[in-house]
Amino acid sequence: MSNETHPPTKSINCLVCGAPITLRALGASVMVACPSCRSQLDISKPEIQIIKKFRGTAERFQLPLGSRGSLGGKTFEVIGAMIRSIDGFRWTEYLLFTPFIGFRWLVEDQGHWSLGETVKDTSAVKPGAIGIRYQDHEFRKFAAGEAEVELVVGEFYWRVQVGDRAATRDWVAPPLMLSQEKTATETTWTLLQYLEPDEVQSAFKISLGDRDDIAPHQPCPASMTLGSIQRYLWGALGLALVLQIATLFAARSESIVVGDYLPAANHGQETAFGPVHLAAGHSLNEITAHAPLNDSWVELQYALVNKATGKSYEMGQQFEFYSGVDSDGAWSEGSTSASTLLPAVPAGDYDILVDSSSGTSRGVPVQEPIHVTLTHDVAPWRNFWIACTVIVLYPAILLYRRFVFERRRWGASSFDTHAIIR
Amino acid sequence: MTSFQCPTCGAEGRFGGGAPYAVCRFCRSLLLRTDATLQAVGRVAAVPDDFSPLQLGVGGQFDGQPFNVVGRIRKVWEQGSWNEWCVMFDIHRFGWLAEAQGDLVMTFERPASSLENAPAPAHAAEVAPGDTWRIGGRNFTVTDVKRAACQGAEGELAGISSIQGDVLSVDLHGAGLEFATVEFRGDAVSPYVGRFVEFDDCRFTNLRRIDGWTR
Repeated sequence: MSNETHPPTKSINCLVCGAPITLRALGASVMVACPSCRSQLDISKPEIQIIKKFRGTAERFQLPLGSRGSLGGKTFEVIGAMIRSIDGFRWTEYLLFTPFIGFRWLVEDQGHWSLGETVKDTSAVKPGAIGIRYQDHEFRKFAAGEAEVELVVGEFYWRVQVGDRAATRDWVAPPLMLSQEKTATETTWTLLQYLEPDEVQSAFKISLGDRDDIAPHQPCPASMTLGSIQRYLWGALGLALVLQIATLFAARSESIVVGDYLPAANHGQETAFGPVHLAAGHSLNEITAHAPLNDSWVELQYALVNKATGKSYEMGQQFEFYSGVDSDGAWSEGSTSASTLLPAVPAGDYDILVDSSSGTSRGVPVQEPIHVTLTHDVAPWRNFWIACTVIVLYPAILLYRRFVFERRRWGASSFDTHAIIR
Repeated sequence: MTSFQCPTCGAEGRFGGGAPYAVCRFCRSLLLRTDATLQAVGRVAAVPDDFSPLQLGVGGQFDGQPFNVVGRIRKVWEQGSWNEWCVMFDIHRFGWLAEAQGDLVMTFERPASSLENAPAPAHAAEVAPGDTWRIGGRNFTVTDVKRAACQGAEGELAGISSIQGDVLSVDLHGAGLEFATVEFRGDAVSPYVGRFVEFDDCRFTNLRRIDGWTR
């Protein structure tokens, strides 16, 4: 057993171009592609050998070999990078290494970054409800293609070659993606976790440009906000309901008969009813008028006049009812009653003045008496519904944004995209 | 701990447990211990340098049982190499902790009879990825077949099946994280059965320090 520290790298010179090469994962990697000329060297044995000569040039990557960054609490070093493509669409895959937990992938595609880990337990990848299931996540199929390696530099744990091809299939469950790669000899699965640009920038101390489009497994911001406000949403709706129920219990809902009003007899002049005593202060009151109308209409004007102050509170309501028989049978429309809320009034005694205009199909005022009642101190549901509307407005906007986002995401998928919105 | 004197070079050495083999630190003789004698049965190369955080003397845990790393065989094949650390749970119980491309697999040697439907050694060359074998009543699928040899060795070793000459090494995956390696050499076949383990779950102690890296 030794306690001396160990140098983290070893330097060699490229057997083809002579440029210095730093080995960062000796023992774990088997091949290095010279960053200067891209020639590939076998470093799995003490005697380094040439696998393949190239006369390439140095390629600049956003993350140079040797960059270190901390992701998910673990420090990783970039030891290799390759450019791959499907049908000309290129992306970069960085191979990350730590002496302790081995290899990970950092994938950059159109400004979108992901951290990938090879799935060891492939038996845990199972058919699922909407595609495949892995670690309690349901993944939906997104894309398939034939990926080709275009450029390789640095160290790798297998002999990756320019031109290597693999059939790829991607399934997504944002922020996760499961990627399957199939070659003639093996099938591997990689689990990729979407990284926000901030995470990559602060991990590797680099500044990144803008992202293009939407990545297949990019989490939808509206969806995340919805998730985080969901508790408050239900809380607010619950609170509104509790308040409404409390208001219902507290309200007197006292029914007072105002009287029978005869429109025909009082045409063009006010009829006074009351006085009625409204005991609750600043109460809401509902006036209900009911008449056995047929083929006629009524417009009523009410004025509640406070006997102490003389202040008048006014309100109008109307209803109409028609019926008949035609080739389709009997029909009717309208209503024979109406209920209308008055503006809030202070406690006191009130005269109720009623005026009307009305008409029948025969062109005369309505003959039937109109039965008028007042419900004192009601708790209307209107405020509750207004509150609910206000509460769900923002979530509704988020739902719409999620819809738009998901439509864009799945618009780029090579598979049918039905029933995307949960 | 029992001390010994290398029969080849005379250097002092020590056996920490019941391992039958040890590599002399000085002359790299491979020594076989029998009841009362110690004989040199070959010579092995030093293990080439690598960046593994493991080293002889590392302590760890597997399923709650403590072990110590007592030896290592570095294996090599056409396109790479990997470490097989010999770990000792107690003086008569050993396991092999394979360290390859950042993955760790703990396996235990099983009798050849636990292979229920593997081909006879004479037909081992016909093994192909995708074949299914039953080992000790469990199903495994062949994922990798390669010829491997020893690149170097150190410390105490529970076995040396792959130290002398080539072996055909067959890797198999079972259900979940189950893993097996079966080595064919001549007429001999040695199954090793176990599973993948996570570095952090092993609760290693006395790891080799690597400049610039902290766990």
